[in-house]
Amino acid sequence: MHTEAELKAMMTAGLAGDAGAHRRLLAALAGRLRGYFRKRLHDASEAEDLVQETLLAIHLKRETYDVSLPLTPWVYALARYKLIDHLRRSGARPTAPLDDADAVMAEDVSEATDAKRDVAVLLARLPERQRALVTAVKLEGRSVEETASRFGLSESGVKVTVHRSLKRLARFVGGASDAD
Amino acid sequence: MRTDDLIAALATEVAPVDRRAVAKRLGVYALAVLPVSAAVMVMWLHLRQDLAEAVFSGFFWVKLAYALALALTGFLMAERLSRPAAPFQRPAASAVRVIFGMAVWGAAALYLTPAPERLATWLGGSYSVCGAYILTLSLPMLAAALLATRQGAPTKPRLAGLACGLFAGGLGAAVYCLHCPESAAPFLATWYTLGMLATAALGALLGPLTLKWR
Repeated sequence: MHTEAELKAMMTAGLAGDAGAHRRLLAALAGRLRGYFRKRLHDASEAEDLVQETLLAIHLKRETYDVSLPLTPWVYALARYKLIDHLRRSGARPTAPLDDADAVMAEDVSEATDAKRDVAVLLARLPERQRALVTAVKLEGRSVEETASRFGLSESGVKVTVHRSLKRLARFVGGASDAD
Repeated sequence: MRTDDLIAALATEVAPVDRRAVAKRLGVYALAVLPVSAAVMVMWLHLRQDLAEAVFSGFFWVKLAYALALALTGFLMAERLSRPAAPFQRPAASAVRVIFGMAVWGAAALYLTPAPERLATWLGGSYSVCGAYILTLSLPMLAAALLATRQGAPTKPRLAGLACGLFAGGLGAAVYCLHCPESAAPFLATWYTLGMLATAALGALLGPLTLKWR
C-alpha cells in the first residue's frame, strides 16, 4: 500500500511528463478505487467499469489537481462524482444493455438486484458519515457498540445518527429531494 | 478492456501539464467575449456622455473597483471549484466581505444624506434598469465561464455555476460602468450588487444543467 506522500510524488512526476510515474500511479490507484467501488456497488463488473472510468478521469482531468493540496481527496472526489453519475444513470435506465449476453442469465435475479441498487442509490444521497453508520448497523448487521467504537462515537450518538439517517431516507423514498 | 490494458494505454503518452491551465482557460474565455459585451453596451446603451470628465472623478473608479473586485473573487472561486476537493471558502469569504463593506458604506452615506434627499439618492435615475442591464451585459461572460469550467472537473456544479455567475456579473458591471452616470454609494451598494447577484443566481441555476462532464 502506497502512502499519500508516495502517491503524490508519482502524480507530481506524472504531471511533469514522467510516463513511468504516471503508470505506477494509475496502477496503485486502481487497487484503491476497486475497494472503494466494490464496497458501494456489490456488482464486481459494474465496480470495475467505474474503476476504469475514474482512472480515465484521473488521466484526462489531471490538470485540475493542485499540487499544493493532498492527492487522495482529489482522487476520491473524482470517484464519488463518477459513482453518483453512474447511480443516477442506472436509476434512470435500470435494464441491462441488450447486447449483453449475461443479461439473460441475470433476468431472474433482476428484482433483487434492483432492490440492492435502489438502496445504493438512496444511500449515496446521504452524507458520508450517515451512510457509513447506516451501512454498518442496518446492512452489515453490526452491533451498536461495535460501530460506536469503530467510528469513535458514543453509542447514543450512533443510535441518533442512524435514526436521523433512516428518517431522511424515508423522506427520499417519499419523493422529497435533499437540499444541497 | 482489462484495467491493466487501460492503464498501459493511458500511460503511453504523458504530456507535461500546465499547472495554471484551469485559470488560464477561465480568463482567456471570459476576456475573449468581453468585447461582445462592450459592443452591445456601446450600441444599445451608449457610453455615458461625460465619460471623459468622469474618469477624473473618484467615484467612477470606485464603481469600477467594486465590480472588478467581485469579478476577481468570482474568478478565484470558479478556478477552485473547477478542481475536485479544492477549498474555495477563502475567495467566497472575500466576496462576502466586499459586498458587506460596500453595504456598510452605502448605508452610512445614506444616513449622512439629508432626509428629504435620501430616496432620490438611493434610487438615482436608473434604479429600475440597472440590475437588468448588468445581468444582460454579463451573459456572454457567463456562457464563456461555464464553458471553461465545464472543461475542468467541477464536482459541485451549483456552487461552480454560482462562481461563474459572480465572475461574469462583476465583468458585466464593469462594462456597465462605462454607461452608467450614477455616482452615489447607496445606489452602487444596492442596484449594482443586485445585478451581480442576479447573474450569480442565474449561474447557480445553470450550473447543474451545464457543468456535466465525463
